[in-house]
Amino acid sequence: MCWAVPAVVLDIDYKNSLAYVDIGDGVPRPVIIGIANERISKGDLVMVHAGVIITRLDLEAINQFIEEKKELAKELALMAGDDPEKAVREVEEELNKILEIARRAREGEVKVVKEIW
Amino acid sequence: MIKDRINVAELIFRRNIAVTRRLREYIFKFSDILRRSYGEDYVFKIMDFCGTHEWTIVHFGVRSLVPNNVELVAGPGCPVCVTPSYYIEQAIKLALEGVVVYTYGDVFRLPVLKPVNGARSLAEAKALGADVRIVHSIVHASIDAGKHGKDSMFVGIGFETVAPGYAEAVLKNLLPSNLKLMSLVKLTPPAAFYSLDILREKPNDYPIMGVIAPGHVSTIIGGKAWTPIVENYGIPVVVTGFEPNDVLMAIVEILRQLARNDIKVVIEYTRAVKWEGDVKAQSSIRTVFETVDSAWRGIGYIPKSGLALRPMFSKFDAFEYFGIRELTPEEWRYDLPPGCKCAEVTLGKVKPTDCPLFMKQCTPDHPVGPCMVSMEGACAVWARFGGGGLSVEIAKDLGLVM
Repeated sequence: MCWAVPAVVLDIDYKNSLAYVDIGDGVPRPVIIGIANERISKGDLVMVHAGVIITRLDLEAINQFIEEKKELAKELALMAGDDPEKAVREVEEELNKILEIARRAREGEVKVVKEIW
Repeated sequence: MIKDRINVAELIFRRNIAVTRRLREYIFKFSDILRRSYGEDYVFKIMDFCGTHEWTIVHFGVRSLVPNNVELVAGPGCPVCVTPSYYIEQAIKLALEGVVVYTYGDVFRLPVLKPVNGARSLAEAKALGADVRIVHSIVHASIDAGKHGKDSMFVGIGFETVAPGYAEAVLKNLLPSNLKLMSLVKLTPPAAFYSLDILREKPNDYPIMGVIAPGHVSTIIGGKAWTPIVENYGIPVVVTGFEPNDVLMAIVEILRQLARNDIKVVIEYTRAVKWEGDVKAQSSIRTVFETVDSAWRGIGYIPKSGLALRPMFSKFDAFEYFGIRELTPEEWRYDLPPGCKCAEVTLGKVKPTDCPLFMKQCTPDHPVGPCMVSMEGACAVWARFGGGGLSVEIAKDLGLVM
C-alpha cells in the first residue's frame, strides 16, 4: 500500500495539478500532485507513489527527531546505570553527522553517498 | 546530483550500522524489562499493517535483530491481495471484448477464481489477444488513451495513497473521454480495526501488543487516523518510515511504551508525515469519492472500507459506462482457490509458511493465491527474500548479532 520512490521536482503545472519529477535517472516524468499544491516547489524532494506525489520530504524535521531520540537515550542510559549525559551526546553526534550529510547533499556535493556507505 | 540527493534521503536511515546496532541494544533492553513483568514465555506480537513494511522487514532481515520474545506479524496492507476476484474477472471480460484495459504490473498477473474464456489473469487475456497495457500511473494511462481514442478502462486499485491521485485526475479532467476509472480503492484503518478485532476475538496465542502503522498512507490521512487503536485496544501505534532503521526505531518505541505504560500514537516518520495529514488531499478524496461498504478478497465485506465515485462524476465511472454490476454482500462468495490461506495471512492469523501451497504449488513464478503476486504480498515477500537463515548470517557478518 505504501510502495513509493523519492524524486526531485523539476517543474510544476499548477493548472492541472501535475508536476514533472526525476526519480534519479534523468528522465522527467509527469505525476499528479496529490497533496496541497503550495506544499511543493521546484527542487523539492518528494515521495511518489503510483504516479502521485504523496508527501514532501522534510529533512529539517530530523531536528525534531533528534530531540526525541535524545530523551529516549537518556531514559535508557538511566535504566542501564550508564551516564545519561554521555548517551545524549552520542545520539546527538551520530544524528548530527546525518544532518551534515543531508545538508551537503542539498548543496550538490557528489561524494556524500560514498560516505554513507 | 539529483541521484545523490535522492540517495541521501533513503540511505541515512538504511546504511547507518552504528544506529542499527544501538537500536538493537535498546530493543533487547526493553524486551528484558518486559520479560520480567510479563514472564519468560510471553511473546510480544507487533503487527506491521503495510506490505511495504513487511518487505523492509524481510528484505533487510529485521526479524534476525529482535529477541525471541518479540514477533513481527504481517497485516492486511496489500491492495492487490484483497481486491475481489470478481472485479478482475470483469476486467478480463471487458478486455476480451475489445476494451483497452490499463493496470499496474502486479494486477496484470493477479490470478482470478473463475477463468473467463480460459483466461485466469489479465496477463493471460493479453496472451489471448486482448489489449491490456501496464502503466505506472493513471497519468500514463490518460496520455496513452488520449492517443488512440478507443474505449478504455483503468483498473484503479490501491489505498489512500493513490486515492488523491485519482481524485485530482477527475477534478482536473485529466482523463480523456474514452478512459473510464474502475475505482477499487480500499481504506486502511477499517481493515486494521477489523483485523485487530478478529485477532482479539479468536486469539491464536498472544494478542497484538503494538502496531507499526503505514507511513505513506499516513502522509495523506495523518497520524491522527490511528488514535482509535490506542483508545479501543490500548496498544501503542508508531507511524513508521520504510528503511530498516525506521522499523527498528518503531519496535524500540513500541516496547518502550509497553514497558513504561505510556500508550499513544507516535510519528517516527517525521520527515514525511504530519499529525493532520494532508488536509487538501483528504478534501479532494471526499469531494470525488463516497465511502462504501467494500468486499475484501477471501475476507468478505468490511463496513465503510471502500471508495466509489460519487454520482456527479459518473461520466468517469467504468461501472456506469460499461454496465458492470457492483458486487453485493448477498452475492459475494469466498473467492480464494482451494487450500490458499491468503485471507488468514492478510489478517495476521497465520504465517505464509503455514499455508500448504506455499512454495509448493504456489510460487512467485506461478502464483495460485493473490498474496504471492504483488511485491507487497506477504507470501511473495517471504518467497523472494525469506528463509535459509541467511539474514542471521549477514547480521553476524555486519557485527550486529554475536
